[in-house]
Amino acid sequence: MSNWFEKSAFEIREAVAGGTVTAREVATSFLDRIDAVDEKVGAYTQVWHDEALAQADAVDAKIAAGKLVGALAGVPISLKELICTQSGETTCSSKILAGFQSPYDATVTQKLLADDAVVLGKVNMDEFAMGSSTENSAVQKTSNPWDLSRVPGGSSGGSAASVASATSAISFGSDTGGSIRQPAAFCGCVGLKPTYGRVSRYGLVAFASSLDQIGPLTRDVRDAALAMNVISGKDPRDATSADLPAEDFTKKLGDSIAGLKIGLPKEYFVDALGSEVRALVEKATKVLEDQGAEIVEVSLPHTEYAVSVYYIVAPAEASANLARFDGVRYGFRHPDAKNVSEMYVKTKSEGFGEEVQRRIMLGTYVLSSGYYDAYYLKAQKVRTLITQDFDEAFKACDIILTPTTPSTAFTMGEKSNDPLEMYLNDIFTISANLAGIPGISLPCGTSASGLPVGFQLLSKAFDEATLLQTAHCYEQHADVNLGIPNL
Amino acid sequence: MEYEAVIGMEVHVQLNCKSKVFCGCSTNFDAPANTNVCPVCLGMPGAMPVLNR
Repeated sequence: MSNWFEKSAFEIREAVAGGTVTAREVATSFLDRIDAVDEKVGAYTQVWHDEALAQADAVDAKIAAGKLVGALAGVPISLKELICTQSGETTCSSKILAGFQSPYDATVTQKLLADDAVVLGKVNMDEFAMGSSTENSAVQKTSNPWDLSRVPGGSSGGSAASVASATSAISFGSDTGGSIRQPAAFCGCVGLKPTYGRVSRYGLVAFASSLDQIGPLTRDVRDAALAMNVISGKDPRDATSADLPAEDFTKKLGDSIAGLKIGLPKEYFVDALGSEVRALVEKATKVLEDQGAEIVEVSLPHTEYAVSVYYIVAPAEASANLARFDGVRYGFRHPDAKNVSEMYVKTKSEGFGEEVQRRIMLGTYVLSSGYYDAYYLKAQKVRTLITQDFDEAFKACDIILTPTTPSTAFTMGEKSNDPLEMYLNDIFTISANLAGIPGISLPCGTSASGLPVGFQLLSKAFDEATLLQTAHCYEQHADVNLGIPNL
Repeated sequence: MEYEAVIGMEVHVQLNCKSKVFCGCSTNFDAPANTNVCPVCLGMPGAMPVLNR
């Protein structure tokens, strides 16, 4: 018998729909795998054994009755703690939402269930998606499956760790400044942040509403395309979702990239970039060049301001979005307050972790009267300049290639006392969120110490098809197969 | 001493429409308690307002 947990979502779906294996067998294989290794990795915050098997049985019943099954039939998936599910809890890995049960499913959750995916449970994250190491979770620690003393990245660290340790075939995370791509790079999996507006955010607990986007973390590029076919599309409940015709994101997989122009932004190949990462990214560039892509140098001159702009815009939006957690309607309420204002203060002071409080204060400050023009308004203007940089660069190329992170996964505790050092981890990923364009991180090898290294491809807004085509071409021709870590 | 007058007005109007401004819930006055509500008008985590058409 094969180990189904080692297979890709595409292979599983084919086998389940074709009757080679039952969805129950596949789900059981993954649940056993979770029981065997997740105690070490700590990706899952909730495992839904009974419910997953019931979902799998429903898929098997459909097949037995000769009914058509969905695009993810029998594929075991996991969801980041901030994607609303009526089942289980939606805690955002925060004490303030401990035990919170959402009365509704997010649009993405609904779409996944409608396409017959099997939800195994929820996975860990930095509290409210604020962080780059998953160390800010109020629930538990998550380890990098390749080296348990290291972080998996973040904020979708549980998602990346679960895909890398083969405890879910696809995991759905969210990316506000690199939160899908950076952990994907650290854990050696594929992570796609779609164009802003491509995927409905209804039911995604908001961090920064103009930057957030849900996307898949997968073992390969085909699975990312498959996942996109299911989750993307206009949603009347999200006014920012784009009204575009349905698209098959797998359609360009396998097409030649001969003549495609790939731009290397000179501002990304800077001193902060480690030499091992640089060498592997250059090797990846060569693979694409050998497939007929034309490599050109491009410039994104406002890159150096991206992190500063982000740390004004994102906390500003977060301070507004998190105001609702006041202990009145849901979640944690401090039990011991003498009046309502003391209840607010105590609830927020004890319910939110240190990093979340830091960002709420930062956001409130930059939005306050007297500072608004100097910080928030200025940052919005620079954000426009960053977007224009990409518009200009995409006149000279179809795809932009960069490193995903300056270094490989760091050890736990290494950067947790220095917020600025932690923020700089997202130096290569933040710009795509500010400009709203899609980005994908792919594994391109391992460092001397055996840690995965990733590189990033970016495309024009709503051109995920070309992005996935290029990524797939790389994957087919690069000899990079990390496999599954020994756990 | 010089003063700058800043005058604000807060206006409460009951809109003449069948559903609430940011969600599809009915504005029917006589409904039983807790029936004309949804995740959006309750401000549940993850819910997003969409302006009434």
